[in-house]
Amino acid sequence: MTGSIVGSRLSRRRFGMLSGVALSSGLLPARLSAQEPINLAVIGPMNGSNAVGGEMVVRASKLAVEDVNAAGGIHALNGAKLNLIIADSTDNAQGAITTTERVLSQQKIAGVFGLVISPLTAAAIPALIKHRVSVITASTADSLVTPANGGYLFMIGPTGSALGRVAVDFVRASNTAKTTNVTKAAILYINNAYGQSAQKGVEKLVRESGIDVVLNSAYPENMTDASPLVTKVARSGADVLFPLSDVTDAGLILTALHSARSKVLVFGAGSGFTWPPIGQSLGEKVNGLFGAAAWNWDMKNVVSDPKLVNVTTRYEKVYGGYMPEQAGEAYGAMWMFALAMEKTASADSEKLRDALATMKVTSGYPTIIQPGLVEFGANGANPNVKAVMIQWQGGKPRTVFPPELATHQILTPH
Amino acid sequence: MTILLQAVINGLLIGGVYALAAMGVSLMFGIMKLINFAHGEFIMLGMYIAVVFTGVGIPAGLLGIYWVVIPTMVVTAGVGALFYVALLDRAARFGESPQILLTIGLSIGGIGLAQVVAGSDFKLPPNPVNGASLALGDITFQVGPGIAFLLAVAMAIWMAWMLKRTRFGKNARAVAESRETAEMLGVNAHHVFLVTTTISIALAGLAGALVIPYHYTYPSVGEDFVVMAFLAVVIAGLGNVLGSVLGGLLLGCIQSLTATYFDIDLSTAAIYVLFLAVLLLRPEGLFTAARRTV
Repeated sequence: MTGSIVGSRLSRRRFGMLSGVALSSGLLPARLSAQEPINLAVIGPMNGSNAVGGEMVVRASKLAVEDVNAAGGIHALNGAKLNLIIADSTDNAQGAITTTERVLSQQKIAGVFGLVISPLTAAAIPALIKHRVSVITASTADSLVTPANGGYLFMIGPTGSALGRVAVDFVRASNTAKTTNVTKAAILYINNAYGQSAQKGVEKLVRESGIDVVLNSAYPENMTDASPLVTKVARSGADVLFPLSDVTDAGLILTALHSARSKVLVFGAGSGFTWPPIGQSLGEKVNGLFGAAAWNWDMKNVVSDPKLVNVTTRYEKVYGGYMPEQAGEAYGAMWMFALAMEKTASADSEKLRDALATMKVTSGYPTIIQPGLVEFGANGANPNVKAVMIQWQGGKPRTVFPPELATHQILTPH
Repeated sequence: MTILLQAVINGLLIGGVYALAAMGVSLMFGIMKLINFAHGEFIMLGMYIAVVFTGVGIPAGLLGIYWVVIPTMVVTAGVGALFYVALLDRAARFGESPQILLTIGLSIGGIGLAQVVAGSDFKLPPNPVNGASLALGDITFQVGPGIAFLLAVAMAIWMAWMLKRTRFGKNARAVAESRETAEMLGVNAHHVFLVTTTISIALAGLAGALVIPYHYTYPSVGEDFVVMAFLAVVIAGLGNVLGSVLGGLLLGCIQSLTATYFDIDLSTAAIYVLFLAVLLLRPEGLFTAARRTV
């Protein structure tokens, strides 16, 4: 009897144990795996002429991952920490393909931020689709946000055409305010996916604004001298120039304009006019220069939120310079991944993809992306984001347009 | 007419940089029969060394930054000597192919090493030459490329004198004609090769130091210049050192005129059309009729 009682007790205990095991069998592996670090990858050019972009996204991604982990990791996954995998795509499309394939094949990756410039991002998309891993990108080519991205690409910043558009809108507003009287425009664009998309947007809008396009010319990425372009601009009689440029070419164009003592108004678009190298190289001469930017460190949505100001301040303190364009986008993107993990309680890349496609974020660190609301449309574009115009003032790019994001007044036109 | 003149001047000025880069490549090929595929990376090295020297300070005045030219040349000359003694000479014992493969490897490895050591930041020290120009009526002369052009011409004159008048130049020409015969006559070919490599890399350093006032320095920057240098060397005639200077100036003018009157993308095409035409119709090069310098 006792034995049966004991047996009965044992049975209950065994039942309890078995039940516990059975119950936990569904949860425990998930919990165990969740407590392992979750890999997020940053892939971008770490050498070549775009390496400065790769470096800034790595810096900002590290900062974001440190912040997520310091805040307790992913709470929905028992505080699992994020682990950043950094990979060099090199500066060419083949390198982007092989690096992406290697990174996604060798370890489980929950999501990717990359690949800084549009041609590299475009090259990497097939590998991302194949491995079913989503990428949040700061690349801007319009051609990226199409069904061809398979739903695995999310463009957190504005498109190339939007960058061009804000420059034209700015000129139009200046004309209306009688600050400028622009009637003839020249467009110079770098011959890559970004330049081509931006050029289409700018040309269309310039013409719609009633301004004549007297010069519309591409130039190669590895240009060593911009003086012929500047001579061509002078020959065209343009009174405004829209250079759509990366870093080195922007420097060459501005230097050649100074050398030729050109009086043409310059409204640049692209990384070349907003990233730190242009400020460092031109010194005082940079002040007054205008550029269209996908993100800027002092936009209204950033400076009005103390926790975001803390982010940009720490970046400046750690890395010795203001937080540049793609750094801000990388920081926001890393937090988007973290929020997607919280929402799905999963680090599965497909679940994260589904979450990113439906999330609408209006609070928290992703609101570092203007205007403080992040969501993605069916094609992967962020419909709310706006490009901004910056003007270099006091050695830093300051947001001067559009009014709802501007924090500084325009100083004397460049 | 003003536009045409401006385009030609712009072409000559940028051509001066190509000429400086081409001179070093051509010198090594002319005497050592070696194409140095790492020449662009030595230009990059010269740029970084010059940028480091600017950190010491830039004296006041428009041309103050050019104090870095001499020390940069001295350091790169030392690197060139070391390059020959430690690598090229050893590789030569196994034939020509290892030497060529060595320079290719050095080119690839050099970019990676620069990335690790110097980082990916673009460097362009603020200085008054960047964007400065002299005006003559409506024509402007960019100061930075102008100085590179003048020094390219000066170096070409010095090179012509050195190769024709000095003992080293005569030895070098003898080795270029026939190493075996020259050695039988008592010429130390190793010494000739050592000095040639040293001068060639010092020229790369000079080119680097002259462009840092107005061009960004970054790990892969050498590629942008060396492609034009190789084209100038082939168009002029492989090994024709003075011809390579004319080749560099010619390419600069073609680039500038095509970009000004047609399209800058066409300027690359125009240069390659000329390159192909030379290879097909005059493979010895455009400037070899008078007589090869080396």
